[in-house]
Amino acid sequence: MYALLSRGLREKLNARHNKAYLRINTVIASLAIVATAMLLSDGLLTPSISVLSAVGGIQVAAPGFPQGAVVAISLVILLVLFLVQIFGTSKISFLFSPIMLLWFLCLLAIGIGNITLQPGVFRAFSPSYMFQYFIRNGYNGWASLGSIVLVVTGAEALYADLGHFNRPAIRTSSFVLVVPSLMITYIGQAAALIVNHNSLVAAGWDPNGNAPASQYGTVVVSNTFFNAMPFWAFYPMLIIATLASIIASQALISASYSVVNQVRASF
Amino acid sequence: MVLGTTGGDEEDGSVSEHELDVVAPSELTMSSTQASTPPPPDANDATRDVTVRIVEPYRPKEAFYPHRLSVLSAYPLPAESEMSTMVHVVPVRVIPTVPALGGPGPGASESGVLYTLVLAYKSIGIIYGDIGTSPLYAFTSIFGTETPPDEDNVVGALSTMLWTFMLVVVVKYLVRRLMFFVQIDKTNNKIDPSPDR
Repeated sequence: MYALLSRGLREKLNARHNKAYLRINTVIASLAIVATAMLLSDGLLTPSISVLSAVGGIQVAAPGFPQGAVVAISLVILLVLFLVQIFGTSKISFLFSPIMLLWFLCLLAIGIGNITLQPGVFRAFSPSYMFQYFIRNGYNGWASLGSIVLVVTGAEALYADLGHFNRPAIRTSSFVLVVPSLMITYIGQAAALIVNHNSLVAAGWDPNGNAPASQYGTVVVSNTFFNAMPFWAFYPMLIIATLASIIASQALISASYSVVNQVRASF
Repeated sequence: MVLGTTGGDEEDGSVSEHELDVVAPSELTMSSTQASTPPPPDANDATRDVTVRIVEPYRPKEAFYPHRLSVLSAYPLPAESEMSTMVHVVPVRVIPTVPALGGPGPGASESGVLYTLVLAYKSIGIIYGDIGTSPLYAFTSIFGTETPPDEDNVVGALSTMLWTFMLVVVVKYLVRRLMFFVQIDKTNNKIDPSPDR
């Protein structure tokens, strides 16, 4: 992108040593560096947080499972993932699509199941609840935007990869599978969270109090994803979620390597 | 491999989408030296020189290394600082009647529904990993310690998430961004390979 802009500028201004070209080029180069740094930081953040969340699901089934062990297992998974990069992953890449397809279908099924628990959660489509949320929570609501933006991390891949697939293909896969599945999942998680929260409050748990919550209460609130599914689905989903997070990490690690390669070619 | 051609086919206004054979470097060089001569008038069947816009061809085996530029390295190279651009406009020799390379197989043309479905299936494994695993940690991250997850807050946060998702993903990327690409392709003499342009 940087090279493209730079070349366009050079042709436009028709001089490599034109002062305006050099000045604008500096600005573009700075923007390119910032953008590259952002992509690399996403490449650092997403693999760790998604693998950690997937493995952390164990704690929902076994509340006594130590946090250190979760971190250790995640570290081993990520280490192996980085080590296999030198062999290339093209040999196993045919597995990615079926696993992600299964993942999205499971998300869809669990989401629909959760929504039946609390169908009133659909009222969130009215933006008035959004405004009330920010008015009521003040600074905390504003600060939680940093977490809400996690919902759309990875959306840039939709057009970054437009060159490998074509427009109808991305439209089809998005609108037929991914977008409905993710929206149903978020709605279902909210429904399950409300149900779990209300049952906890009914059992005497005070979320606003400073008194230490029971182990059960902490876990219910601290891992929404794995608490929002029936028990029989738990262990299969643990495996699928771990695989899906590994695939997501793989894509970001490849993107990071590829952008570093481009940087080496550009400068 | 080739996503479209421009030049030399204005007589019928349609887009000639020949598949491009793997052109040897010597052929490319020859082609570039002959690029200044006008194409023959009956250009439909003959081998001819046109301008081809290569937009990062889809190569299944190299899907994870999208910016490898081996295909393009044969042509009069841009300066090394420009090697990573995704769009190259290069004059090359188009050889008609070459069967599709690396497509989903005989019987499925680039305009077919089957082709789109195969591509859509492949794209699921590659581009949706990051956005698809966000449900693992989004709600947990929002209701960490500060905000109590009571019903009002959950619905409010869900409302914000849904609208963020709809605006950013659906409107910005899938509608606006893809419309933008269509627009570019129209101004460049319709070189989008997609069937429903």
